[in-house]
Amino acid sequence: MLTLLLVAGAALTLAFVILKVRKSEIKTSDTVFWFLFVACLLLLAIFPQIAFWLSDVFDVQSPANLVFLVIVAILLIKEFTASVEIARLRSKVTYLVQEIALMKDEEKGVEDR
Amino acid sequence: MEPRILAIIPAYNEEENIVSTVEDLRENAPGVDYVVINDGSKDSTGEICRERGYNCINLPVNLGLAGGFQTGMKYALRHGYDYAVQFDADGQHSAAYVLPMVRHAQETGSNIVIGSRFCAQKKPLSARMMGSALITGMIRLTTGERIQDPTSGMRLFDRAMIPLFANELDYSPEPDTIALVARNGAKVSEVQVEMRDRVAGESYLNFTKSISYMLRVCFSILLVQWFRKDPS
Repeated sequence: MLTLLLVAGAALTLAFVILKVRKSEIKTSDTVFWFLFVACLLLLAIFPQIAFWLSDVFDVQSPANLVFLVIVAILLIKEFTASVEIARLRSKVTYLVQEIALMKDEEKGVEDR
Repeated sequence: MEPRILAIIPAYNEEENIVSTVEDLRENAPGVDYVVINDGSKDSTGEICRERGYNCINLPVNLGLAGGFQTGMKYALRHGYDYAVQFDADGQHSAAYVLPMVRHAQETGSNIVIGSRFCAQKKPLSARMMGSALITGMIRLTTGERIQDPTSGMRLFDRAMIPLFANELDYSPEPDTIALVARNGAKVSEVQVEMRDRVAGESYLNFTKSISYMLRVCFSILLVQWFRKDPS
């Protein structure tokens, strides 16, 4: 059942990413993460032994728990880097808006003279 | 030589108040220059300023108070002002207190002078003032400074502060930034002022916004501040 879930997850993610690529709504460089993510899901689906082995190593009760844990952790990291990226973009927008406004004001001052 | 003083008036949808605010400054703060920062207003704030020939900078999109105020600080920096005062467009602040604040800054050598409602008077008991008292307490705890009215929006900044607020990321005109610069060695003092109730239009702070404001300021003063670098 876990295998089926993982394959479905992988297929859906892949379909979604490809759709976004076709509509040019995502940058090629940003697709790398998602393709690797899909690859990991598929790998786990094909070789569920990986999950069993890892859950043994880390003393996690069931392989499913471990899979969830890892995916949640990966997505949290992704979310955090996205938040950093948004902050950077926001400060760039603020800077640009301020500069545009100040530049227009200086032009006005030159015309008045 | 007389110091050059700039009043920064961030204005977002303030068509009802902007004229009285600017006229108040012209009448009651002679020698003080002003700049209206029209923060992407959707009403006629910008047109009113243009028709009346007010000194006005128009932001093409809305940035919020922090971004608008910072634009004013950049203007102050580029035009070489000695003092910049944050002045609300909603009619709460009285221009008559601007020059006394500047005099106080000169006499005491303060970097920041806050136009304080509770410098000489006690705080009234209300939810809002309890929030204010809480911030006062936290600033006392983390910096040792006693600031009676940290949320007052009427603040004067001197020559040393202007480049900081003009160029640094996240130096918003809020109590947590005041606490930060105080901790980094800036001298902060207060002058008693009277404030009017909002004349027209709607206040920015409603209940949920007040709560998130308090949370943000508390976190910033108690936690985040310790990790921020001193740029000076």
